[in-house]
Amino acid sequence: MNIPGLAPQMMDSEHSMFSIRGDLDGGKDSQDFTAVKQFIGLLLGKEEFLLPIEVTNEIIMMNQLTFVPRAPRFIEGVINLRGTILPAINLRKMMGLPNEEPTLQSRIIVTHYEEVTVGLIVDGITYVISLNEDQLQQQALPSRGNGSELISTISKRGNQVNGVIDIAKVLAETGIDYQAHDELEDP
Amino acid sequence: MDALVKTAIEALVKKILPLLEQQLAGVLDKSAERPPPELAYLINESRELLDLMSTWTASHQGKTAPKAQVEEPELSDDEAMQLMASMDENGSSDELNADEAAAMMAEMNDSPKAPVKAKTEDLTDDEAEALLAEMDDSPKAATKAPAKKEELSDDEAEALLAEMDGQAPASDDDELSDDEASALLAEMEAPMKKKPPVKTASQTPAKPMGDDEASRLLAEMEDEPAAPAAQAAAPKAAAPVHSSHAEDGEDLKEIPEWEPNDFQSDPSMLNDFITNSDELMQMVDDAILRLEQDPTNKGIIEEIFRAAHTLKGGSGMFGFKGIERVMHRMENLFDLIRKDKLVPTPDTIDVVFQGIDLLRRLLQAVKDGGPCGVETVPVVRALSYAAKGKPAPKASAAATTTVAAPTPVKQAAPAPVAAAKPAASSAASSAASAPSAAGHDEDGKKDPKGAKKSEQSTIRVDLERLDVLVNLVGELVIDRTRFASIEEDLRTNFPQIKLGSSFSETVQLFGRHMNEIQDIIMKVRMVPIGNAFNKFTRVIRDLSRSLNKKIDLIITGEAAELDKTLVEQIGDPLIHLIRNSCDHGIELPDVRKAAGKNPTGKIFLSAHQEGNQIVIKIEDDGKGMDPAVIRRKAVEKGLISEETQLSDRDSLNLIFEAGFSTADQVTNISGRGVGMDVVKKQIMKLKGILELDSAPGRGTTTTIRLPLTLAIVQSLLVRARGETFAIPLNSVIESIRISPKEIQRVGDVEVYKLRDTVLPLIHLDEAMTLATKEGSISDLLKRKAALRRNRVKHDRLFVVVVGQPDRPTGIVVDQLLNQQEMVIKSMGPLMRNIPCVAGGAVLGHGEVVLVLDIPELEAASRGRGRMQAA
Repeated sequence: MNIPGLAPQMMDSEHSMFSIRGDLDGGKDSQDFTAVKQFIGLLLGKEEFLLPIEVTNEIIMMNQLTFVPRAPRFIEGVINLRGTILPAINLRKMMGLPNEEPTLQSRIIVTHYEEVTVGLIVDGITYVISLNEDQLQQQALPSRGNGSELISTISKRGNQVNGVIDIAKVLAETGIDYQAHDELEDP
Repeated sequence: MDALVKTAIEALVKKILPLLEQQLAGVLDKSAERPPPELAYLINESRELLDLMSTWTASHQGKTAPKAQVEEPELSDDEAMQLMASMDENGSSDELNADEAAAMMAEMNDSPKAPVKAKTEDLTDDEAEALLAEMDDSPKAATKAPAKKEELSDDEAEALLAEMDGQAPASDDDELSDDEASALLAEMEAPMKKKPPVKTASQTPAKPMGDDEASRLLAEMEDEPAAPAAQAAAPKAAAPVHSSHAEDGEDLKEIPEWEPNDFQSDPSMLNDFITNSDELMQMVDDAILRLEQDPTNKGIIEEIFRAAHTLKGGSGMFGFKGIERVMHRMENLFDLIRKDKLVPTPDTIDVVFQGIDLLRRLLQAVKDGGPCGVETVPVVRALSYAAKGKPAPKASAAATTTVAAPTPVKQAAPAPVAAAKPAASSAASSAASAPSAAGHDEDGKKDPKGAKKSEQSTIRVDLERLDVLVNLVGELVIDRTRFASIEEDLRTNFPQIKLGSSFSETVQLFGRHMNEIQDIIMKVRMVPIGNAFNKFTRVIRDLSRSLNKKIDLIITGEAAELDKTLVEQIGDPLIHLIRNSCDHGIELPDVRKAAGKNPTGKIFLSAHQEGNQIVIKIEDDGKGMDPAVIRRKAVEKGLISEETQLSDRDSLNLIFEAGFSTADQVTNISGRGVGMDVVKKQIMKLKGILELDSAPGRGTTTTIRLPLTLAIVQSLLVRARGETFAIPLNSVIESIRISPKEIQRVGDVEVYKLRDTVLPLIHLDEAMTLATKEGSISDLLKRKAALRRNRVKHDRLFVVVVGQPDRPTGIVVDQLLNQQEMVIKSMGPLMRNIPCVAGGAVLGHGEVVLVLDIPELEAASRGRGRMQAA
């Protein structure tokens, strides 16, 4: 299968990538968990990004999304996750990409950060990837309005370089002070 | 300290000193023959007190007033305090030395009792009660005795002393068997009998008094052995070591608010205590208010007494000494009232309320999990003065009104004796003359918990658990809807599947049971709104006293039931509104009179149910507000422009605007730093509607409309631009279908003439800026589905009429879908403040719909209209 944005030679290389596609248990047979960190590979447009697995709750199909008028920017609407209503953030928009009609590959990654649970709309899921510490490099990128400000770490796997999305920065982009406890919160 | 009071005290002390010395000498003579240990103790006490008093007077004499002020702290504060108390209570002290002396004596007599008080902690409730009764009796006894001291003969002094001695043994009883007690009694009576009456006129009143006293003491003595176990258990050390004034003084020192013990660390027991105490406090609060209206009602007193007692017992058990002590003092006070020795005046009640407020703070500290460090002393002091002092002014009043001095004293004397009688008999639990109330109380004391149980067969449930249950039921309601729609779908679209009647039947049955469960679970959360109203009686009372206004609060409809969370949260806004009514609405009595109104202002607080809404009204007959003035003010504040056209009502409602309610207002609405906009916000948060109506001179009416419950709401589903929205049914008046031709334009606003009213129209897709949806992911997602909105024909428009009946707004939508029950959910911290959206709800098929916040929508459209006009 040809995954856009992913060089074919990556598929069978010696890089520490688990070839279990779309399977969250992909790291099960991993040798050493202490030194490695796991990431979910996701697609936005043609580019692959990584998301730390610790902030991820689950990945769901995108089959329903309710538009919320005058929602904070980048929030596309709300979804129903087994009775709980969650906002969904349009990562494409944050990356400066135009909206496209969702495909069958489109997913919503449900993530959590502090007290906030939020869905991230992505164009597809690639892999669950384990990376060693030395394959990660703290690196803030200059902001060019194309999503580079969401990246705090760069992963290096051979000659492939991917940005690791920082969920805290994603939330900060929405411009909502989610930490302030509003006393007008529903009882 | 006031120089006048100081002089008065000095005079008083000078008066008392020789009296005391005289008595002491008499006692010492007698005791030379046979000095029982109690007597010796008392003598020592008195001596010490005497010494102290002389040093005190000495230190004051020869000093100038300012110096004396400086000196003051050097002497025993407590002593000074007590003296002060007796002074204060006596008021005009110069002519009332006898009374003052009496008060002093009362104080002294009271003090040997203090060890008993210390012991009460170790006693069972009933015994404590009995002891308490005795203690309260003693000041009385003393009061009337020395009242006659002006004509005091030796004999009487002796009799008096015997009496005083009689009290000391009572406190030291642990060493006495019954026989000893009676021996002691005989001894006590002996001096009185030994000395036959010498003088006639002065003797006569004294004699019956002595007898009464003796019989009372006898009753006490009899009562005492009834509690032998406790007596034995009581630590002996507590009694004789302390000197009398030290003992009393210790009472007025700060004690540790908490005394750690095992019960404190038991969270479930502590919780029980907290919930219980809340209820009890409310009970006491209510009862005291009623008592003020009806001071002679014994039933109310008994009620207070029981509640206070339970609370005291509980706090004692948990080691909350602060609460226990305050409660104890209050109990003493109530006991006096109960025994007709004290008629509660507003001042007394004020003191009691001080105590209640203090107790609330202490209880709050218990809830917060640590002592709060509030000083209990001032209140304890006030309480004990209220208890001790009140009889004195009464006597003094009698003294001043009657011409001849000796006669009133005599007259005044028998009255307390008569009062003491039933008290004594009830303490001895003799059925003969005890009022039925006393018997009733006895029962209550023995088993207060049992009595409570029979009154209400309820259980306490953690509200959190209940909330979980309510949420689950909410989910089930959604499931039911879903279940039913699946069934319908199967039946209609797949006739080839043989469902059988039992399936449909089950679905129906399930639906019906769900309805019942839902009804019940909603009722579980319902509490009478009276719970929120009750505290207002107190608020009004305090406010009217502090504002010097006469205000009656008339509460009706307190039985109307409302969701518990609503009842809890409506309190604050209501208090604010009521305060406003008192503060700015109701005029001063003179002003009212001048305006031809009843000097007593009235505030009506009412609640009633209207459909699935509760309507709360706060109505006052005060001076009202002038819309023109408010309008002018709003223009000044820049809230509206000069040209803005507003109805009177709209003008009035301007006071709810943020920024309007600041200081320096002609109308003086608010002024407490919290504006009416906060009230409005709070009401809106509860999905309520707030309305104001006022006319100058006539008064102001504020109406609050609240949904019965926040958990599950009936909603109307509408569609605009392919988006589905839910409109809570409680704001829907009706829905109509109109033709676009019927829409007229008034300026920028589209209106429709509905019957007699002009209906401003809001287009939902415009109001919700649904055009911005174009190109969004959800739009793209939906494009795949059938584009329903293309089917919508615009030759007919659907209009949902919402808002208040007398002031409706029409919302133009594309389609009316159906009516459904739904649970409004928060959409998480990121989606807190979406304009005009109250929350989200999940429909049966899993779709999320937004629930419209109708008041906000109306306000927003009005605001826009205003902005455009401006």
